[in-house]
Amino acid sequence: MSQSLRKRIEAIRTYLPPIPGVFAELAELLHDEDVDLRTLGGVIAKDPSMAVNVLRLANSAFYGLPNKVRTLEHAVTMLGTREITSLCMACQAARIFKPAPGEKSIDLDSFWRHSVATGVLAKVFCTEFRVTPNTQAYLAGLMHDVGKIILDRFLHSEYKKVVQLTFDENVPLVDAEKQILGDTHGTVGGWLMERWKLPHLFGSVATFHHSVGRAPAESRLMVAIVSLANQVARLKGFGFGGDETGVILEETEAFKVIREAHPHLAELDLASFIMDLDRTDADIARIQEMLHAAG
Amino acid sequence: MQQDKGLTDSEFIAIRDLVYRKTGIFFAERNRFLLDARIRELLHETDSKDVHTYLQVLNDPKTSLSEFNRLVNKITITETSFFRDPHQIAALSKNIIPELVKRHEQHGIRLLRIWSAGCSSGEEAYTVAILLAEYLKDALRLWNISIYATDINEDAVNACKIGVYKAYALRNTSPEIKEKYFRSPETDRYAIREDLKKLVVPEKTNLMDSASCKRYAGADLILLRNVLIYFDATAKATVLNMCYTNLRDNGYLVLGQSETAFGVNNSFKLVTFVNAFAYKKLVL
Repeated sequence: MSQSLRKRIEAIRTYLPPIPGVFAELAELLHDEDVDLRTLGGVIAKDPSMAVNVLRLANSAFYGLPNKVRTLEHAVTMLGTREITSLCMACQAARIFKPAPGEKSIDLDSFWRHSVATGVLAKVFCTEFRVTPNTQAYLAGLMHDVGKIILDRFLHSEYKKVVQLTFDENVPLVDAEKQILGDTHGTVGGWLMERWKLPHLFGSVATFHHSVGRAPAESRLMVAIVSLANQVARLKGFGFGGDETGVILEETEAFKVIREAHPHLAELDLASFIMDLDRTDADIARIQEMLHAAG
Repeated sequence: MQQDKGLTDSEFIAIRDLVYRKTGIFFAERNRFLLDARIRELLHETDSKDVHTYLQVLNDPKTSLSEFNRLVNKITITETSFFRDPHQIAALSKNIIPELVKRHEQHGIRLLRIWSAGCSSGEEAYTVAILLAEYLKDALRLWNISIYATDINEDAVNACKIGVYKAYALRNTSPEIKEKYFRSPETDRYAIREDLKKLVVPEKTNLMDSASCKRYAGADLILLRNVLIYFDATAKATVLNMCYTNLRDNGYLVLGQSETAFGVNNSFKLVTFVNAFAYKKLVL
């Protein structure tokens, strides 16, 4: 890796896009333990399409609510303000990272499919492994790879080579990044979360989902959950790039961290567990479609 | 001839237990109808007037060996095809085969031992031969490769020896692969290319017979797809332990797509590929 490439990567930190208005207001609410409905409603009212999309997501099989929710108030009663805030941010995310017309970019469809699958699986894992609190699992999963979009936007021709290498050599994307760029989407994603002043959890997930052991203790379990969801999403066919390598999941740092917190996982038949996750395929497809429409 | 009635309870148990004792194949109550149907066909073929007479033939020292063989050939007929299960094929061609080849090359050993166990008429074994030819290309001839293709069913083993298949067995095979690795001497007949046929060693083997399975020791890869479904828990454990022993360090075992070794043999490490699994004898 050349000195000039290193300089260009460092420069990304200075030129990161600022957090967009509505997203910033929502992010502000995430820091707040007690958000009242009126404040949340006020933010949502600024973007009428967001309310519609949030209701669609709340009514998807993903949440399995017994009755259809028709109003934001009802959705908040059922899911809580924090969850609804996360959902609103998820709806915004696809729009924020949409490339400008004419801008060359990576395969965004497979990028979002992978991101949605990681978010959905992170939430499912929280439920299955009884990890709480889990209100931010979905959003943290959805955003874990934003560093890839940033790298692609700032270093498009180099990033194209990175993605091509995963197809040519069947290697993990993060290894291809290290080989060609000398740094990873984790680093850059972490910079963005920091710049946007999102809760620390999001920065940890973005930065450490490929190096779980280095995550700060207070967020390590959620980083591990998203890291596992990230691998399983790829192995269920929701991958980004050409990496088709196999993984001994129980030997991964992520799985070990989760098992340490939840020893009953030692008894889990992983093959059957992963096969059973086919049930989430429909959710993933539907949510991706919604995000696509929202974007 | 007994055409209308099924096996009585005691007849079912007598045949079921004999089959289990000799092969490990277990017919649970829910699969009784399968055994029932096969026995009816056998009554007809052996000119036995009823199941009682047939059991006598089966137990008579003069006829028992050949009759039992005939029975086994009847009850272990399985349908298979080339390139069955695309996800498992992808895991083999993109990951497992390259890993095995690279590891051996690092050690300067161009030798591969593969065992397609319970392979029926050999489609799986020849599929692996094709995958190796695709990966190694011209270097294929520099390698010493043995793909043991074994089954308990003698008819199936004989079909594997002949290596000629109907088009239906190649329904998942691309035209390019057909063109490259098969010749078609007549309509609806596909013969595997001679140099690939030489890599495959068809043999009749009973997986419960650990002593004769020792000849497959040192395997880099064992394919045991959709075979465990025939066994009960005890027989499964015996077969999986035998596979573990027969694998080289860091070798792979591939089961059927919906089968798991969990709870039966926990020495293996589960490796997850894209929509496919394999079990590794992991030695660091």
